[in-house]
Amino acid sequence: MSDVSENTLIKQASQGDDEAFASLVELYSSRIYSVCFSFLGNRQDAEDCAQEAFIKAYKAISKFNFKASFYTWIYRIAVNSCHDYRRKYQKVVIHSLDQDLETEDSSVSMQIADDNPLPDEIALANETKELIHQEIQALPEYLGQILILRDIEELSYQELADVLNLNLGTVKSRLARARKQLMEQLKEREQNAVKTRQKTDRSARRSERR
Amino acid sequence: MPYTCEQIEERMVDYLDGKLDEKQLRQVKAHLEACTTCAENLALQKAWLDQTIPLIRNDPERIAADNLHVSIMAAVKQAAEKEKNTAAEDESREDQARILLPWYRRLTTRNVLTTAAALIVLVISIQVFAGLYQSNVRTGDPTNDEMAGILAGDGETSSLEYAEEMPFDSDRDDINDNDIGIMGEEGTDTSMPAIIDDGRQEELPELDLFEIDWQVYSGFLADLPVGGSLFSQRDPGETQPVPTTQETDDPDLIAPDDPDADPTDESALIDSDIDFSEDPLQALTLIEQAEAIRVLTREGPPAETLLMTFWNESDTAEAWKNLYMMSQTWPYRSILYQMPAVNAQEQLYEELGAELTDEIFIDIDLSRWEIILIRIGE
Repeated sequence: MSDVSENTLIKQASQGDDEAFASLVELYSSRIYSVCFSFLGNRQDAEDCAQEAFIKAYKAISKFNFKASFYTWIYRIAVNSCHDYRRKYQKVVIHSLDQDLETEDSSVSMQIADDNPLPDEIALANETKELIHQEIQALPEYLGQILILRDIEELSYQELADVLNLNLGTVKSRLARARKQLMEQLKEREQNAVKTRQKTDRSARRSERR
Repeated sequence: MPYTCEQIEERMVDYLDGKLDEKQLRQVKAHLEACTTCAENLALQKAWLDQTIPLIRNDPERIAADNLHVSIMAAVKQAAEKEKNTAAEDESREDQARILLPWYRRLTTRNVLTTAAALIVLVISIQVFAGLYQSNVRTGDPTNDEMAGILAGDGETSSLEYAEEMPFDSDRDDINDNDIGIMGEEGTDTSMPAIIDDGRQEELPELDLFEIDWQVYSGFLADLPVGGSLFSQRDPGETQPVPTTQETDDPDLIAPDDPDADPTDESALIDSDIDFSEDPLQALTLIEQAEAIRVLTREGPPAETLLMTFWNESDTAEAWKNLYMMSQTWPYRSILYQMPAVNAQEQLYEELGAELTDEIFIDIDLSRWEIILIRIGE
């Protein structure tokens, strides 16, 4: 869809043309859903959040003044909605060392040290995704959103700057920080998993001897 | 000069994007050969981008359902319908102890009065209010009749008792069609002050920011349960506690002072120092301010709570100065809040127990601030 006709849709929508707004929803709902999913981690929440974002957009569309692109605008609404949604409906994921030590969970490079069968590729992939999602959520919000929007949603740096209202330099430096911190979290998780496995091995060996 | 680890980190993003030039590339590689920490970090980040990311992106759950847009639109229509009904209910209620939302409904760029005449009207009417409040000792709300009298220029109520300091710079030429006006449909908004046509051509002296008693103002802030300052973004590094419901320290979307923010960015807000003797206050547009005063002075008895939400759009201090001065003379405690847009309502409900509404206004200029003016009875 060309810019011209999209602008027409927006104008019509802000004048109350619901069909025009429906067209905009059709154009953007996939992308908005995806970003919500990346933030929230499950389909139901993502759908609900995307819905909320479009409701807000509908109410605010008459204020759209074409200074930025609709894409940027709706994305910003979505990111805001995601933050809101997380706070309202999702528990804060606290990355705690104790948690790691007590669970049998392991980093993706380790086998699960229990009597379950070895995970097949799909199970491993799901575990990875869940793990990564937890770790991203454990990042401070202003870093997590950059990671999501750039690495997962693949927005350009300029789009990121526009959506988050930052300059390009800040976008890149935050991205660097976000990635670095994520790596550190993952390393920590792996180290804890190693400790857990070592503990498990040791106690298994001890009980064997008895 | 060989790169340090810190410099490697700074260039990591560009390196992974393949954006370093030959010279930089050579130096990065030289460092990586010698430094296992950095080499390890690079390997991790590469694995992240090359292996983990595709896994996440290709998650089938990440793809929207085919009919999602249909169900979203249905929900949009439902929400709009629901709001129309509640708006109708609100309007029919005599009780003024309500959250003032409806006048926002009229916000469209078409409705903004941008003519000079309109501005003069507003300037004069606000001037009148200023004069009224400052020159008369009042312990209560001016009655609507009195206000109407002044505005109609009936000669009985004096409109000549202006305060020494005029609140406005009347030379506003920065309001254009894109500003959000708060007037109703031209000609149908009966709550607008009547045009005062008494031939006065006074020049309005500028309000001297330095003469405002900001101490009084900070007194307000001391009472505020929210840790933020009035007009500025909070620096996340500051020790001021953020008594919000969220646990974020996001300095941009969520509000506080962002040391990284682009200083040339128009929508960037001011320094986080609560030193209002320095100018750069974000301010309401003239029209918004006039509307605020109109609403606040004519609606409801003192003991009620009014809740109004403004979007921070203009960058002149004038309107805010005036609004602040207005607020000094109101017989009730006024609190000017500035809170991050995303949690403003929640915060308020917690503190005031006000009725929950999910109105959030989003400004295309990516303004991040929502300023809430609360008038609370003694």
